[in-house]
Amino acid sequence: MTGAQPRGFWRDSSLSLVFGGLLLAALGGQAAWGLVGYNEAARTAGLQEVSFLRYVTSSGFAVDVAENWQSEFLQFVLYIGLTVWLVQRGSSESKEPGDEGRESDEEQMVGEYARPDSPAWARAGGWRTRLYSHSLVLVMAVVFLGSWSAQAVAGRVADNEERMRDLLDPVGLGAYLVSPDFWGRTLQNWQSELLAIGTMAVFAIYLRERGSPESKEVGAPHAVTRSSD
Amino acid sequence: MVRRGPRARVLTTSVLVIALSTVLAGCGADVERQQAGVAADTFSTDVTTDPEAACALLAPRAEQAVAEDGTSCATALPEEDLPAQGKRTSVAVAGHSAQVRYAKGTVFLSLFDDGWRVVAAGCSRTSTDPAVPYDCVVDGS
Repeated sequence: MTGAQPRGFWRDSSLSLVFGGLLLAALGGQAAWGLVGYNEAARTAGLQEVSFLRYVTSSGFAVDVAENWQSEFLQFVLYIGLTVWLVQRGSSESKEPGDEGRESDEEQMVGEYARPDSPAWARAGGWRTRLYSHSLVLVMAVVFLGSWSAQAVAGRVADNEERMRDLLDPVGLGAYLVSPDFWGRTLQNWQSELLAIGTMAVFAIYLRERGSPESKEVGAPHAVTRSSD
Repeated sequence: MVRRGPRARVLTTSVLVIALSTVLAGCGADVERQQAGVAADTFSTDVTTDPEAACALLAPRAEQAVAEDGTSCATALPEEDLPAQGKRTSVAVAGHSAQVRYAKGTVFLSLFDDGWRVVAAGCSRTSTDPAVPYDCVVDGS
């Protein structure tokens, strides 16, 4: 078994590092093209264009970023939470039918069943083990709620900037939270995330990517849910 | 003496930075509201006392709208039927846009490199539908 042998930080963290780099590149691209779009709209309206720094600190950029972040973290909250109780036979994204639920302490290696190298809070018992048992969903949920709140606050300012540009009254936060702008931004992101994760669960029954842990082995039967188990 | 670890110091610093940013953002918003209000007040006063100065406070599109038909802005502006606005009642700022309300009218402004400039003035509501824009005597939107 080669996985137990550390091979250095860069090689052992290549997945996280590449995604971190891609995130920064995509954010930079979003900022650059967003600035072009903002300034085109400003020229059309005969108003002041803005600098790159001013744009990336604006509510318009913040709401565009936050609306996507909140939906990504909601997707993970739902998927991590729902796959405890719901299954899809044949999908590598699912537990075996019949294994629904929280599973035993022995299966989860907590309390007296913890290994010597288990995380300290998995061994500790009591509230610490209960809290640690849900830490992944809890942190994802906190980031989701934080991003969604940021979307609401920044979205209201960006919407009001446009409303006043169009000679309309600005709206308060309460009115913005029931506005088409807020729910349009929210639901257009939710539907795309739900589509992606739903199709992943179903496509993984019949389709394969050789070598990917997100796929069953190429020769694994369609009816087998977790072929590597 | 309780020694705090690096994680506690990072957490404390993060909380202080967020708190300071929030306070500074709040102060910045207050300053922008004040500056937008002063620009609208100055414009309203200058329309009758110093039309040239009032024209300098107009956004380019608004100045063009006033100066139509070959008349200069400073000549045409006093002829516009801008009503006496009365007392300022509220100022709202969002990004580069502002709305200053008076007892008898509303002014819309936009932020330029040299400060707030008037986009529309002498504005009033003509509909109860909030999706219908204000009707403005000077309209550079």
